Amino acid sequence: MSDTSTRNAVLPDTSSRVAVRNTRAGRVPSTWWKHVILLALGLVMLYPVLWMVSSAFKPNAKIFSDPGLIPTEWDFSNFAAGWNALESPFSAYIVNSLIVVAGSVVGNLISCTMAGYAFARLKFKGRNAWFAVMMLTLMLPIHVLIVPQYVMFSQAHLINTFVPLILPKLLATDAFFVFLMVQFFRSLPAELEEAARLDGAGHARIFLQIMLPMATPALATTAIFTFIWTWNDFFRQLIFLTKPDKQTVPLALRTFVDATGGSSWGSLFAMSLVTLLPIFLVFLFGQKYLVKGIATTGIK
Amino acid sequence: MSGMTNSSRRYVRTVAVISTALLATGLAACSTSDGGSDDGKETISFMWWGSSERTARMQQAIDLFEAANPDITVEGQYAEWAGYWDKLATSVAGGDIPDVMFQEDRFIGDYGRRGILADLGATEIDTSKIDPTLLGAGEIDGKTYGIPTGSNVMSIVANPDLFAAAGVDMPDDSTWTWDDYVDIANEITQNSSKGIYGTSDYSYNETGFQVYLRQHGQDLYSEDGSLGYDDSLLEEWFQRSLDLQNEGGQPPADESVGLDLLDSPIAKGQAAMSFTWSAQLGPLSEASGSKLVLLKAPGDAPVAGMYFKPGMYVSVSAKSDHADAANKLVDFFVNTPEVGELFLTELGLPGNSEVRDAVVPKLSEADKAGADFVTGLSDHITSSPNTMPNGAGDIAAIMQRVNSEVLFEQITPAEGAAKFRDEAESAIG
Amino acid sequence: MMASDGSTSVRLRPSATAHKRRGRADGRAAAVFLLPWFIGLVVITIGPLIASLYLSFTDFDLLTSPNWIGFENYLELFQDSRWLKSLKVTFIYVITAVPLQLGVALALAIFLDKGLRGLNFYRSLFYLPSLLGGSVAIAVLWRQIFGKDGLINGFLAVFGIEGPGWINNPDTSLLTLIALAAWMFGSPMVIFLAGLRQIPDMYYEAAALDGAGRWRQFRSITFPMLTPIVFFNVVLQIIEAFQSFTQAFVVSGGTGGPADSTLFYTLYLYQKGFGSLDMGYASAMAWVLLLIIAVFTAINFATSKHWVFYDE
Repeated sequence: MSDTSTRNAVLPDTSSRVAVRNTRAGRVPSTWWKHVILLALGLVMLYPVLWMVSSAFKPNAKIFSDPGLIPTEWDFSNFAAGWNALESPFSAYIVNSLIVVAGSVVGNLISCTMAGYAFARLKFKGRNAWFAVMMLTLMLPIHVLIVPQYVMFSQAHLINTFVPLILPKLLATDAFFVFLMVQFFRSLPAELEEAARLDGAGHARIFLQIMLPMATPALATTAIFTFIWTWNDFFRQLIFLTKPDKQTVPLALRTFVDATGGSSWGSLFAMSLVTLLPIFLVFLFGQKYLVKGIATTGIK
Repeated sequence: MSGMTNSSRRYVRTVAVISTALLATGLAACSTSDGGSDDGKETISFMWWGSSERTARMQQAIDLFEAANPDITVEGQYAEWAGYWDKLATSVAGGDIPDVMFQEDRFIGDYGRRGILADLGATEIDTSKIDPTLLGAGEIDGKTYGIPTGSNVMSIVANPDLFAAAGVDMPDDSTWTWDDYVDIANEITQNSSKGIYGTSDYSYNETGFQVYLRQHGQDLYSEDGSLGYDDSLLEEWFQRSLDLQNEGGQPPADESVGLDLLDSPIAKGQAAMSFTWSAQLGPLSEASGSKLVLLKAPGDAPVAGMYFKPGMYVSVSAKSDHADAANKLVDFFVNTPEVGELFLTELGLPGNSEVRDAVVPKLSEADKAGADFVTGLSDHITSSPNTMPNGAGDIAAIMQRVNSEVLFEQITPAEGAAKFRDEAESAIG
Repeated sequence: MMASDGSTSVRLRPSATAHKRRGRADGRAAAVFLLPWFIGLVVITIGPLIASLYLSFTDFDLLTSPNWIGFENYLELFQDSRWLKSLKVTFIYVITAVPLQLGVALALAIFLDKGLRGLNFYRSLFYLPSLLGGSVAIAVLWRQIFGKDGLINGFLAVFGIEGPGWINNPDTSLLTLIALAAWMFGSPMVIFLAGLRQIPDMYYEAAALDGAGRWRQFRSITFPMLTPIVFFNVVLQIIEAFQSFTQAFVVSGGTGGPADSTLFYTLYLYQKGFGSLDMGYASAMAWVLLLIIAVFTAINFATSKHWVFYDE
C-alpha cells in the first residue's frame, strides 16, 4: 500500500466548532519511558534505511561482513559505479523523472483547482450529480482503464513518450486533489468573494485574484503529494515508458536490480539513495504543508 | 473597473510560461526517433538478452560493425532473460519491433508464423560457412526465421574442485546412470562442509526434461504440435528431484529454486554439478572461480537424449524499414571472426567454420575442453527434437513454477505432472 | 437611480434578475472551469472503462482486431488455478495488512496524543517510512534485508534464531510484504492524530468528573469519536490494498514467486495483459477486480451504521 492513505484526509463534516482540544493540564510526569519506547521503535523502523545509507558508502565486500552503521572503510566509488552502470548515466533517468513530475504537478495545480473551484463555489445544474461522479472515479482501480488507455496511446504513437503520463494530470483525473481543493475552497469565508462580485468581478478574476492566493496551503499540499506519488509511480511508468531513453528513476532502478544479479549491492544502494533523496528533501521542507494539508481538509 | 492587478498579471504570465514550456517538452517527448535517416545515416535497433557483461561485449561487437559500416548506426536495447520476452511482446504490440533481435527455439516458431520475422533464406546473408544441420534448426515451414549464433548442448556442468574436496571420483560420463547421478550428489553433500551440495536444482528446465524424454525415445512435443510424452516420465523426473532434495544431494528449495543461473549454487561454488547449457561453462567458471568441466548427461537408456540446440538465433523483423542494413548486421554478427572472438563460446560454439577456427585457439583450457566436448558429440547425437509449437515460450515458465511447487512440497510429483500437462496444453492449444 | 430628467425609479425585485443572471453566468463559467475535468472524464476514464468492458468479451491480443467470444474469458477465469491463487494471495494480504497497519497507526496515535513533548518529531519520524515505502528503492531494500543472509536474519541470529530465507520460501514471502505494509503506518497515524485533536476536551473532563478511568474514557469517548475517520481509512485502504503492485513486483522480480506465493491480483493481470498480451483476459480480470472492490466497499458502508458514530 502506498501512502495514498493520506487520501483519508477526507474527514466527514463534523460540524463541531468546538475548541480544539489542548494539551491537558496536569499531565502525568515521568514520561521518559514513553520516549524510550518511541525512540526504540523509531530506530528499529529506520534501521534498514540507515543500513542502506551506510552500505552505499562501504565497499561491496564489506557490506555483509561489516554490519555496523558507521562504515569502517569509506568507499565513494559505489556512486560513480552505479551512476554509469546502465545504458545512460543515471542523470538521464533523473531528468526524465523530473519532467514527468513537473508536468504532473503543473497539470494538477491548474486543472484540479479549476474543477475544485467550480464544484465548491459555482452553482450549476446537476452539480451534485457530477460531484458524485467525480467521487466515484476515486474508487476506480487504474487497472480497469489501463489496457484501453494503452491501446489508445499506442494508436496515436504516443507510447514511450511522457504524454500518457502527463496528459491525465492536465485533465484533473486525480479526483483526490479535486476533492482536496473542493474541501478547501468550501472552508474559505464567502464574504471576500461576495464583495468582489458586488464590485462586478467575473469568475476568472475571483478565481485568480482571490481564491488561488488564499489557497496556497492547499496548492502546496497538492504539489507536494503529486511530486511524491509521481516520483514513486511504478506501474504507469512501467506500462508507458518502454525504452531506456525515456525511462524514469523507478524503472531504471528495477533494471539495475535485474542486471546486477546480486553482486554489486553497493552501487545498487548508492543509486537507491539517490532516488530517495528528493522524497526525503520534499518531506523535510514540505512537512508543514503535508501535515497542514491533512489537518486543513480534516477540521471544519 | 480596473484590469487585473499586477500580481495576478504576473501569476497568469507565469502559468502561461510554464504551460508553454510543458507543451514544448511534451511535443519534444512526442517525437519518436524511429530509426530515421539523418545526415544519410541509417539507424537500426538491435535487441538482445543477457547480463551486463554480455551487454558490454555486444556494444563492442556493434562498434566493430559501425566501423565497417560508417553509414549505419546501431541502437542497442537489452533486457535480462526473464524480462526479454515481455519486452519484445510489448515492442511488437506497440508497432515498434526491433530491426534485429535475438530469438530462441521456444519462441521463434511463434514469432515466425505470426509474420513478425523476415525469411532470411531469401536474403543475401552469407550462410555458406555455417554448419547446415545447425542452420536447419532455424528453418520452419521452409522459411529461415533466424540464423543460429552457435550450438549448445544440455549437459552436466561439474566442479572438479568440489568433487576432489569431497573425495568423490569424477564419473565416467559414457556409462553413468541417473541412479549414479543421485548417489554421487548425495555422497558429495555428505562429505562436504555445510552449505556445499552435490547438485543444483536439476529439474527446473524443460529442455533438460526433453533430454530425459529423448533417452526414452519420446519427445516433449509430437509432430502435430501437441504434447507427446507419458506423464509417468514427468512424475519420475520430479520424484527424483524431490528425493535428491530430501536426501541432501540438492539444496533445500528456498536456496536454489527460482534463482537466476548466475545466482545459483553452481555459480557460487556451492554445488558440484548442475544440468545446464554447455555455453554457460565460461560464465559459470568465471562466477564460481573454479575450472568447471562438461559431462554428458547421465542416462538409463542406450539412446542418447542429448541434442544440438542453437544458443540463440539472430532474426530480422519482417516489418523493418531498414531491411538491408539489418541483414548486413546479421551477416556481420554471425560471420565475422572478430565478433566470434569477443564472445568465444558464450553464445554457443560458433556455427561458422571460419569463425570457429579463429575462436578455438583463443579459448581457455576449460573452454577448449568444452568446445571439444561439443564437437565430439556429433557422433553421439543423431537427431533433433520436433519443432516447438506456438506457446512453447510459456512452457519454460510453467515448468519452473510447477517444479517450485513440487520442491516446496505443495503438490506431489504426480500432481505436478498432471498440473504441468494441464497448463501446457492450454498454453499451446 | 437618477434618470436624466431627475426622476428616480426603483428597481423592482433586483435580487431575482440578478440571481438568474448569476445562475446563467455560473453555468457558463462552470463549463469553462470544468472543461479539462470533463474531457478527462470522458477520454481518460469513462471511455476506457467502457472499452475495457467490451474488450473483456473478446480475445484481443493487441496485434489483431478483437473477436467477440462472449463470456469465455470469465468462464476461463474460474478454472484458472493461477487466478484463484492470485485471489487468495490478495485476499490474505488485504485482510491482514489493512487491520495491522491501521491498528498500529491507531495505537501509536493514542500513545502519542497525550501532550507528549516532541510530538511533532515523533510524528515526522514515523511518517517518513510511509513516504519512502511506496518506492522501488525500498522494495529492493526489503528484498535484501529479508534474504537468507539479510539484515533480519542477522538480527535474529543475535538471539540464536536461524531465520529462513524469507523471500525465497513460499510460506514466508507474503509475510515480508505484509510487514512492509505495516511499516508504513505513519500516514494513517498522522490522520488519526489530527482526529484525536478534534475531540473536545470537555468530554474527557466531564467523564473524569464522573469517575471514568482511562480505559473507560477510551471506549466511550475516544474510539467512538474516531470511528468516522477509522471508517474512511478502512474503506480507502482496502481499495488501495487490492490494487497493490509495485512491492510485489520488485520483491518477486516480476514473477509473483516463489511458487506464486506473492502473485498479487494486479501482478497476474499485468503478466497476462502485458506479458502474454492476452488483453481480453486481462480486461475481464480488471472488471472482476472492480466488482470485488465495489462489493467490499458496499459491505463496509452497510456495516458502518453498526459501529461508526456520528456526532449529530
